[in-house]
Amino acid sequence: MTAIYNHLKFIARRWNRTSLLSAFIKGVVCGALPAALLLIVARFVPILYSKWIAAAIWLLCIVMFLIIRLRNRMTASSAAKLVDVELGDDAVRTALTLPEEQQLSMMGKHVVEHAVIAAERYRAELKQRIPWQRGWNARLWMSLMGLTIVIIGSLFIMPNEQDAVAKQMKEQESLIAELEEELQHTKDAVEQAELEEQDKEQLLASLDELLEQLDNKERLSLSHAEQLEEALKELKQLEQEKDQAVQRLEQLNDAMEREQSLQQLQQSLEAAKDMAKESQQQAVREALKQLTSEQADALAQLARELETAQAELANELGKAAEQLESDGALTDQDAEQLARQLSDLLSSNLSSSELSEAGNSLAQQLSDLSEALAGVDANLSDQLARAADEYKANEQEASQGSGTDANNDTTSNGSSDGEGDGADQEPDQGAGQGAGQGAGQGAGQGAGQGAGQGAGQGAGQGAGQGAGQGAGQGAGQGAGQGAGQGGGQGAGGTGAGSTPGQHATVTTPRIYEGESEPSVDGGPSTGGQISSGGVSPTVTGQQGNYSEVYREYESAAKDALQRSNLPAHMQNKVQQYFDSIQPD
Amino acid sequence: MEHTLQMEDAKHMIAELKQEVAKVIVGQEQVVEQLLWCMIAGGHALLEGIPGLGKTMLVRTVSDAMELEFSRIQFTPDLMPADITGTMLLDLSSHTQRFSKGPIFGNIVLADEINRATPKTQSALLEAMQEGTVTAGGESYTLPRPFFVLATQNPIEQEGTYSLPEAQLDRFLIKIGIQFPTRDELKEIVKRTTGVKHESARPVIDGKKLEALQQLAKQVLCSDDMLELAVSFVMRTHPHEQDAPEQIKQYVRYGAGPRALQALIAISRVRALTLGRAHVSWGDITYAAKPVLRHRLGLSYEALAQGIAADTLIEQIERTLEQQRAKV
Repeated sequence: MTAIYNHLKFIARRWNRTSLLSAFIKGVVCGALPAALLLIVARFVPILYSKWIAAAIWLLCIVMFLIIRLRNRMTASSAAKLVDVELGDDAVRTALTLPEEQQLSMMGKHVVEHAVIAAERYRAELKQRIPWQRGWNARLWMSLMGLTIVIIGSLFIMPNEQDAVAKQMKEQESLIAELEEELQHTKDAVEQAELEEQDKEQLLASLDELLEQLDNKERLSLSHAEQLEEALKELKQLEQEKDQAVQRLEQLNDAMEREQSLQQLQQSLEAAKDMAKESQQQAVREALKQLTSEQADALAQLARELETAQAELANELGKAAEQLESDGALTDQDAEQLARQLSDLLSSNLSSSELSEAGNSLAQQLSDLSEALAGVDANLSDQLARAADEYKANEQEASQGSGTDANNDTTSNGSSDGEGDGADQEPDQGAGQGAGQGAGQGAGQGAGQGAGQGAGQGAGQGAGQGAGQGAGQGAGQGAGQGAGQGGGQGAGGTGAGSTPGQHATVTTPRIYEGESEPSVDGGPSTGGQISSGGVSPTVTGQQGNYSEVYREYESAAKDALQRSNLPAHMQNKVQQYFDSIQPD
Repeated sequence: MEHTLQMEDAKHMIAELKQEVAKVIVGQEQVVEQLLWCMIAGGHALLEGIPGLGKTMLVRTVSDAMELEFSRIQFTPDLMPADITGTMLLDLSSHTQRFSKGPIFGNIVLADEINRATPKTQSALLEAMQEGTVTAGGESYTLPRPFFVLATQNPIEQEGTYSLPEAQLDRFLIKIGIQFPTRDELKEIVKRTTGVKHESARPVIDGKKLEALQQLAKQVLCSDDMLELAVSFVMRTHPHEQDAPEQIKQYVRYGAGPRALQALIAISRVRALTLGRAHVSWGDITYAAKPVLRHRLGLSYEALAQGIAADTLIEQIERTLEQQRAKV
């Protein structure tokens, strides 16, 4: 019987090995199906650790198949049945189930001998009877295994954009959880702190509001993830467009370099811009030099008040933090957190009440400052008038006015330049030649949303006197990527000259026809459009009586003052100016 | 090694018997084989076949080969039980009654066309088959040993016949169907029977050796697994059995009884012995199943109308059990 069992164990071992092999391959194939499904789904829906989960599912299926197979592994009696079924004479099982008394009988011995022979025969033919692919279609399963490994491997190797989205979602959730926890701690600390009831309620209300916002963010995390995914796609698209734009710009640059005339034009434009900037800076420096002591004091006072307000804010915050720390209910971290929140809260309170006072003060200071600047204008006008006197003997007068407009903001740029040239010949008694110069200033404002407006004024004085005005407008649009457009138009300034002393004749350029043809220099990614004004030629004027010209100018000035919203003191300045140049 | 030698002797003797019978009977190896199994198992056989297929010749040849006393009874409608068992006669010389033994007192009794006799006569024969005794005039007479009844019946001609009741059919260990000979066999039959020289079987074994073979066959081992399969085989002939095949449920009115299981194991043992094995195998059971069970299945009228044979249903059972057995 021992011999039979030995043979049977050998047979069972062989059977179990082949069964385990088949179970492993089937586990690989069957486990790959859910794993592949998960990886495919993870390419459309962000699933955190999808690759790890898929690998775990795969491994789990393989292990399950192996465990099931091990639980149903072949025993010696099963091997006996196998031998009996295959050989068809049922000797082995009969021998194994024989009672002891029958085993010793002649019939029993005969059966045992027969069983041993059968088992030996089966063992000798074991490789033929139990090949490794027995019981399963090896070719089919091996093919399926290869296919699934290729599919799963590809899904593992190919990068998945959803992984980054899932990771960010996870980070966002953890961050929200941390914030919630911190806020809860802070809330507890505030509840325990010895604060005034009103302050405490305010703090708690703001903390509850923050907690509610965090809950909303948590709920919206999925939609945020989708938005993030869309944003990633858009960024990718924008990157492609940027590359294309860069290519186009490079091509354009090459073309411009080749075009000599365009280069010259560019140089002249840049020179004009530099001149305008230089003159503008010079004018500001002059104005600052001529600030009176009162005006300087006002500015210093404003700076001091601002410093005081800042110190008060810091002091208040410090007091609140110390109070909470003295309660002992706060840790250092909580105290720091609360101090930050108090700072925000206090700053909001300050802006609503105390800052209104500071705003009034600032408005007053600004008013004083604007008056001082008006005085600067008057001084400048006087200086310009004196400069004009120096050129009164010139027969030829030339006046030039320029107006510049610069308009800068974060999203748009616009500029306009206008130039007006006027020339007049004066053959009369005070004749001589005069050359006129004009200086223009421009100030621009730009709105943050990409719209800008600018207005410029210029005053020029030549042999006589000249005044130039320029107006510019710029409009811009931007999307945060540095793309923008700007446009500007400028009208040429006007100039007029007079010859003080004799007041005989004066050049009055009556018609000023100006036309600017802005050239646009811009591109989709460099942002903005620059328009610079063209030359506004003046038409030769006429000579007339000084008093007539004066009256016309005075009446025009009055009309302009009535239409404009200039402050009274500025209007007085204008009136004083006209009084000083009265012919009588 | 005594048993082994006896088994070898038994195997040799059976093979020799087959050879002797084959000298006279052309073909019909399966019939001869089954008939010998039945006799070694100690049972009675019912041979079914059309007239002229050599049924009588077969039985006579077997009796010749076994050196056993042969008697033949031609069953007719007017045959009386006493014509079979024997009659009490008045002895005029001694003025006493004596029992005159009928033809049933033989070792091998050929009951030719048994279905032509009346049920009363049939039952007289069947009593002798079951009990091994004959009762006449208040006395019982033991039949000689070994005692075999080999009955024949014609399956086609049913007019004027009395079909054997199920209870009586169950007494036959096996039912052997005799098939029509092939062309070659027919030619051989003609050659052997129409010539001058007639072959005859010489005695190979006698009654004692046959009884020794019967005892040896009973010692053949049958494992519990095989017994379980044999029981399942018989149980599945019943239409109400849950595991019975659908055809059994549809076409069978009643299944085989306990005698069928006894017969199945007995025939399986003899077959194993014939093949030189000391244990019963599944092959033995399946081989014995058809002759043992085919006359024990009560087919429905639907099955008879559709010409469904009992052998087809038995094959169905065999297939279902084979699947169950093959599960490792």
